[in-house]
Amino acid sequence: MKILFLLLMSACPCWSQAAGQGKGTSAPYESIQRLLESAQPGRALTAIDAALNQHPSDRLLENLRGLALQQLGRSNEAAACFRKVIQLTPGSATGYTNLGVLLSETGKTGEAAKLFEEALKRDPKEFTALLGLGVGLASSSDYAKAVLYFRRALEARPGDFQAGYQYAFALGKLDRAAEAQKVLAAIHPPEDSATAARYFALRGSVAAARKDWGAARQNYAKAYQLAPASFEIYSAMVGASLQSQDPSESLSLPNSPPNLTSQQHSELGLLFASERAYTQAISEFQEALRLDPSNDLAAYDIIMCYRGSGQTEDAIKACEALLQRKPVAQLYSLLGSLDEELDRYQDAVTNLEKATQLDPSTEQYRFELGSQYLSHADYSKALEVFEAGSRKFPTAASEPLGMGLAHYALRQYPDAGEALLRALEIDPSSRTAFSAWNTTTSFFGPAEWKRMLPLAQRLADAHPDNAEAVYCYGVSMLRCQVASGETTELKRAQSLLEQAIRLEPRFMEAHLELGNVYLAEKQNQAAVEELREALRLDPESLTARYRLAQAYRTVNQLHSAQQELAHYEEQYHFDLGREYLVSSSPDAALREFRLGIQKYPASARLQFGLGLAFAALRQYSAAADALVRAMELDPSYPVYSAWNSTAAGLSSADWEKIVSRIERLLHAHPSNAQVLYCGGVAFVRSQVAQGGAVDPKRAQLLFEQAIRLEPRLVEAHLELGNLYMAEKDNQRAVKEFREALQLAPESSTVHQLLAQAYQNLGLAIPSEQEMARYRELVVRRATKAAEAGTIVQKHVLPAPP
Amino acid sequence: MPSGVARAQTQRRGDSAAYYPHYVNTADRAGLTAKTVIGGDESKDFLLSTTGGGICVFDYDNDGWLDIFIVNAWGLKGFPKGEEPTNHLYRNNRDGTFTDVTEKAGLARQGWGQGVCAGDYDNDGNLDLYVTYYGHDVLFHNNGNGTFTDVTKECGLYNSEPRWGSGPAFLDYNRDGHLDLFVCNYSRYEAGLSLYDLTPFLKSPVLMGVPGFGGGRNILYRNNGNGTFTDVSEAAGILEPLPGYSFTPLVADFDNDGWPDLYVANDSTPGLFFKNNGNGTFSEVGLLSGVAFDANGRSLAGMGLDTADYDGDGQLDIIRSNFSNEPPVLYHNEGQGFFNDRTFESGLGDAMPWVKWGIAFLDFDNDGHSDILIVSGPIYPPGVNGARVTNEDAGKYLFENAGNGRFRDISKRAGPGISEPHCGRGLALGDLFHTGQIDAVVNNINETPSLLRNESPSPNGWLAVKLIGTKTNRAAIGSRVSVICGARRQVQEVRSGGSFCSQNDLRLHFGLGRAQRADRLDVRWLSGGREIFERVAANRLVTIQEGKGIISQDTF
Repeated sequence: MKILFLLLMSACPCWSQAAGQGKGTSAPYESIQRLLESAQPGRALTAIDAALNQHPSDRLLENLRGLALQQLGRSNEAAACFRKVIQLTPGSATGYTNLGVLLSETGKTGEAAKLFEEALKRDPKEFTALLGLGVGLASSSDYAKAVLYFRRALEARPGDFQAGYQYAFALGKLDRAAEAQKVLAAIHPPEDSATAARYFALRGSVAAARKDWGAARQNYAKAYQLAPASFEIYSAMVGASLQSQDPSESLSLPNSPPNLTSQQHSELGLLFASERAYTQAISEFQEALRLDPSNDLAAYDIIMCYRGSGQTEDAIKACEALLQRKPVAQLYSLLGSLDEELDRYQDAVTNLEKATQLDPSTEQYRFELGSQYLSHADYSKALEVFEAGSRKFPTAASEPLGMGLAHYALRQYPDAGEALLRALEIDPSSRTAFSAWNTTTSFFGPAEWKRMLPLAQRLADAHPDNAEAVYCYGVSMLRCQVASGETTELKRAQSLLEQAIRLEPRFMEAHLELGNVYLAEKQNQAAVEELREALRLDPESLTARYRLAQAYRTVNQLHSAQQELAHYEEQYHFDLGREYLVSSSPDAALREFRLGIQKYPASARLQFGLGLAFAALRQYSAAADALVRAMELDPSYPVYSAWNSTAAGLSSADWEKIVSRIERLLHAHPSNAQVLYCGGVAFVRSQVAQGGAVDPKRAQLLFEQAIRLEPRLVEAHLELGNLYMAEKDNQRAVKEFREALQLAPESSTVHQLLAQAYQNLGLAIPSEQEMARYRELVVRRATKAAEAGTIVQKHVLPAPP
Repeated sequence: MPSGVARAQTQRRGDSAAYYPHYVNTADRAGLTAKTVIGGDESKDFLLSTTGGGICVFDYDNDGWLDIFIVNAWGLKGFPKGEEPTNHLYRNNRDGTFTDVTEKAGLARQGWGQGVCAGDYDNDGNLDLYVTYYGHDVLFHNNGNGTFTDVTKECGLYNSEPRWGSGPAFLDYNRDGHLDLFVCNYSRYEAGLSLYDLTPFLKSPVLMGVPGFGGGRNILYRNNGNGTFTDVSEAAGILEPLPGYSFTPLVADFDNDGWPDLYVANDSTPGLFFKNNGNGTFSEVGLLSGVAFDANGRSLAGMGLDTADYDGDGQLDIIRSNFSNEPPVLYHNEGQGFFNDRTFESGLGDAMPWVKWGIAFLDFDNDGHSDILIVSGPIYPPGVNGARVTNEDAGKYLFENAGNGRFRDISKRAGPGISEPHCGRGLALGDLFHTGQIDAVVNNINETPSLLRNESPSPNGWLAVKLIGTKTNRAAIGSRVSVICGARRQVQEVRSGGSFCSQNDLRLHFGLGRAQRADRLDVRWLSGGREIFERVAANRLVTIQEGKGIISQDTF
């Protein structure tokens, strides 16, 4: 196509020249041109040779001869003709241009470029030369230079399709999609469907680059209509469609091109899967597999799609089927993780063990196996696995990390500390290893610290610019000094901790320990300052707060000490209550929060905790009472996360007791986003509880106002979206939910609601995508909760707090 | 004398500076042969199976020799008739042996016994006993004739609502000359036989400790002076703090204002420090005082308590035993009612393994510095599934006071009585054999008790002091004695309760080092009176009666 374009263009100057020079001669230029246009180069050549006999050295005839020979594929002869034209008219661009076109067709782009440049010296606006140069540069990916020529070509011939297309293409390559779009908008494709398809495809890709998925989809659709056999265009259209979530667009895809290969079906499947359109993806992968039963990748992808769409059982079946043919470690590992999702611990372990046996050289399988044991409280086995893994993979930080956690769970604290330091030595950036080590050391006596000291020193020597490594050494030294009663080296510990702070000024633990150093050195005022900084960095640190209170006491600031201790105690009760909630002991949590409130009745935080505990016990009336009380005490304390679920459990009688308090809150705090939000929820829920229709106006106003005050209040967007959905205004509902999604992309609730709204609008694919994401987040959250609770906190039989 | 003595003498001759005690368990040959039963051998699913085990060393018959009272408990499945466990009173035969006189004394009683304390609540000159139970506590009046009578109801101490009593202590909080009573309660009664709910990751209920079950309510009973008591907990401010899981009370005048204060060891919740306001009320100031938590603000599993002036600065310090992987906490008294956790600085930080229970300051070598003895025992005692206690589960710690604010662990060099593993709980001290050296009795779960006799005579001198109050309560509980010997000053108070739900000998024992006498003996009676004695000879028990001075001196 490129050649055709150039040929057409190269013919143009000839016409004018031929026409201009045709006057007064008898050479049959026009008839020859017509023969060339109608692709009859043989006849044209005959006519040209006949004319040349009469008019030898006629440059126009030579030029036409060259064109005819070019059409006949007799390139050398054509080149000779064009060279003759150059000889005859050295000042004209024509010969150079046409010779350049010929050479570029035969791949001699370098020479062609020189010829085009010569042509441009003679005629700076010589269109074909400009285009030819641009194309040559573009073919060697020098788009930055190519666009300059394309632009000049388009200036020389505005609206020219070839120039415009090439220009837009090059601009797209330079990520100048907006400019490319303008160029494309100014040209019109020719009628031949292949070229038009390419045009629309380019428009589509430019729109996609601008993330205008709707426009991209439309253009690809047009291109596909013109080229229904084009897989590339079809897959681009699918991609744009999946990205496009414009609810005004009715999303439906045409059939894919016929006779696609297994590989192409797989590619489509991947496209669908990447956007969580798992149903379509599975269908494509299945087709790929049908065409090529040995397409293991497609079989694997089916498993992943089932998994992604929450159909874990189907994923397992598919995985087991594939394993029949391909018993490889990777699949056993995958099967193990699928079992884990369904809490089939024994199966998971069996499969992970097989994975490690089949591929002992892949560290990941061993780590997964160890993690399984760890998360199911089989700590001894976990330790065995990690110990073996550590020997086999001495450069993998995850193995000693796993060892450390297993030792910790077995209450083998010094061994845990040693393993965790080893993990840090391999990967000093591991926050998990550092946090675990710091927690472990709270069980250390002097003997353990003495054991840690050389290891910590080695760590610091290996990573002198890593704040955590230096800190570990510093705190080990400090503890050893204090325990031995020899405080002569405290300065060294001090300087290490100061160094850690220089490396990371926001290192709370380092500030805390430096405060301890000052206390040990009786520099009490300095200790106060350092501990205040630690607390500033982490206001939730109970240790920092307690130490600060002690430090205040040493400098006789008893009032400050008491203030800190009051804060400490209040937070202590809250943290303990929250721990009980996390470990599913709501009764204990309730007791704890109540105890705290007895002493600190003005604590909004404790009231909030009380509300959570009541809600966990499904005592929603009491929960609501506590949450409202929290807001009454401090309307800025965030309770909204618990408000919605609590409100859903209230009866109309409960609401009667609460609504007046809500009204008072609204009256007292008309500009408090949380109060407005909670008020809105109250009005909606109370009406629902009363069994009547929901009059959304007031609630809607409150939510909108809350959003104006706090645009990032996700819950308000959700509630507003719910209201719209209830009024069947799904478009607006989608808008609100999408707004919420921007703010909280990991919120499973938002995805679920958005899926519902899409469903209401009949948008099946986006709905399915959102539901897939919802399921993914739910599974991930459950896994994370199990893991986090498992590894350090939950599954260690609790020593007293 | 056993061969250990010869061995010890060799040690002494070889290196007089390096004295080590040699504790031997003589319980068997001494006749302490009854087994303490707590929960039985079958399983240890319940919290109730893990607590209890108080023990008391006191002279019940006023013959000048210390007797032993051992609290017993019960099992989950009952016992054949005639084999039911009971508390035991062992009378000292004065020859190294003891006789079980429980029945004769009227102290045979079945139940889930927990703790014990001794005191003369009616000032009749005979030490009475208060025994706590999971259920209903009992006050045993010492009739003075070798028998005791349960006078709980008559005294107004009976509570129809069952409770989980733990550590008790007599004290005269209002200094009216009559002993009042403070009783700790561990947890809500129902918690004793509750199981945790099924947890998602473990397939059967597991005993996970007491947090979450709801704390017990401690009680202060005021002695009305007429043989009855009144619950004044609320009026006295004892109920102000939130309920915790209280084990052991420790009574002493920590701020040197002449009024007895109260420190309570709580399991997993902050310790409580009740400062006596001198007007019949207390203020709980544990947080500000620095004794609620450890140095890092962690509340540990507090079990047992004792107090002594370990560094000779005139202030009574506190030692507390804790759970495994927690060291015992040493709170140094800074004065003005403030304490600092000096555990690591003092060298006690390595006492991490084992669950620690009974704890006491003692001067095992009579050098005038308070050493520390700690008893440990696993939560799950021997007998469960055939398990036996090993050295990994339990042992005792003996820390020698180095005299510079630090302690050193000499457990491995202190004789088999220290190194043998048992599932220990309560610990009580006293000079049971009149050797001038402190012996120890330990209540072991599902075993016979240990009677640890130091068979290595110390080269140092000693002085024991027995106080008899007249204006002050008869047992002189709460009175303080300071002994100055050379440059060293020692301070002790007569104290009821302490250790782990247990009771030490009420007589005060002072090591004098190589001195032949105490230069000065200063008695501060709780009533406010003061008596000073100069140049009191060493190696004897002096009995001092309020207002009358030294009324007797017994050498042994």
